[in-house]
Amino acid sequence: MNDKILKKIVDNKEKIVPAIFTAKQVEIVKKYLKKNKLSNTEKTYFYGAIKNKIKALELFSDKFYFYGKDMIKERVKEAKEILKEIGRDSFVSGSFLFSKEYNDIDVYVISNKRKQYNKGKKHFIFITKEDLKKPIFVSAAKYCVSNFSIDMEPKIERPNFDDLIMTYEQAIIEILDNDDQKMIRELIFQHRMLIHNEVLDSLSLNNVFNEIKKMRKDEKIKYVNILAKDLLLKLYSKKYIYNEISPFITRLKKESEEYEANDNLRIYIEMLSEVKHESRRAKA
Amino acid sequence: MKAEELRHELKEIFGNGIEFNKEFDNYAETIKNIDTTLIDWCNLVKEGKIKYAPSRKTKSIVFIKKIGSSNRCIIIKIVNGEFKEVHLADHNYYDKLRKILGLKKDNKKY
Repeated sequence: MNDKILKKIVDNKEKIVPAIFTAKQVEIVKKYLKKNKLSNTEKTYFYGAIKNKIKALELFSDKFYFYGKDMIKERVKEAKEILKEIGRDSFVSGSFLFSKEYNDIDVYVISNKRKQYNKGKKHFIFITKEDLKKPIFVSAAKYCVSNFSIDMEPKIERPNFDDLIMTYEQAIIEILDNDDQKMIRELIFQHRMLIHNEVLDSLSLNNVFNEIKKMRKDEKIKYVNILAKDLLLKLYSKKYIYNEISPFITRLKKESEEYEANDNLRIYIEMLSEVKHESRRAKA
Repeated sequence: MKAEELRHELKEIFGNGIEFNKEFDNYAETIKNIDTTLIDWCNLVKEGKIKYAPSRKTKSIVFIKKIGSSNRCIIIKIVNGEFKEVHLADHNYYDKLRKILGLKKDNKKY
């Protein structure tokens, strides 16, 4: 049932009663919205006469917002249908809107509780209003079809130093192993956001990512090293970096001698040594 | 392959001291082709042929594998050259475990 319309009915009771609904019917709607238990008679009213009227009203409630350009027309149409069915503040985003091939349809629903699940091709992600300030959701919302107006005010947070190192390490492993390379995407996103103060929308991020994916392995490694180096040197103090990285490099050197699959360790050592060197220079 | 058989195979590879997470059996039964995917990969881990992402906060070595698009992951932890744990679960569990193992922390306000 379309909660948005139900809410409007309750909020505009004076204008709607008796023209469209009876006072009793509005009371039932109110009870339903409050999640109060309906009696059997009320249920009959609600799922009979009230539901039919609401279905008719849905035809007049098609207000949609479009964020982003070059969406596939048929997909936009499909997205609108999905949003109509949900009937709550929600938006459809992701590759479904711009790419011929897609894995699933990302449907974001504003809710009091977080949850996610798949239903056929649809991937439902329930997020809170506060979650909409997280850069990852702002990125999704910047390229979407929505049934409500979205405030795009990202709350940007500096990543934890160890998390950043770990993202970088995994990005390198993914390149070496020809894996899906999603961590490169993550690094590109963080770099644009934290260095250039720009939250990329899902299409722009996808375009940058696809360009990088076309590169040769060595070029990709070089690119990822530049992103990581840039982030480390600009987000943390030189003194902090120098003190944190030095013992880590020593450990990596030891482990790279002991461990056979060490291609990645050597790359980390090289990149981190450059960061250490630049931190020392800055300190001096 | 049933979960019990899979556990047995993994014990053959890593030794009897290996421990499994609570949800292991559940995921072992539901993930398609988990036996071949996991056993081949574990053999390579044992042979030292799988790359790992070292954490600054933990001295143990942790291997991570994504299985399928639904982000089920496994983590194998080595302490002092001995294989200790195998975890099989979904992405949420994986995130929590990474925090416990010192591979991930909550963000700080910018």
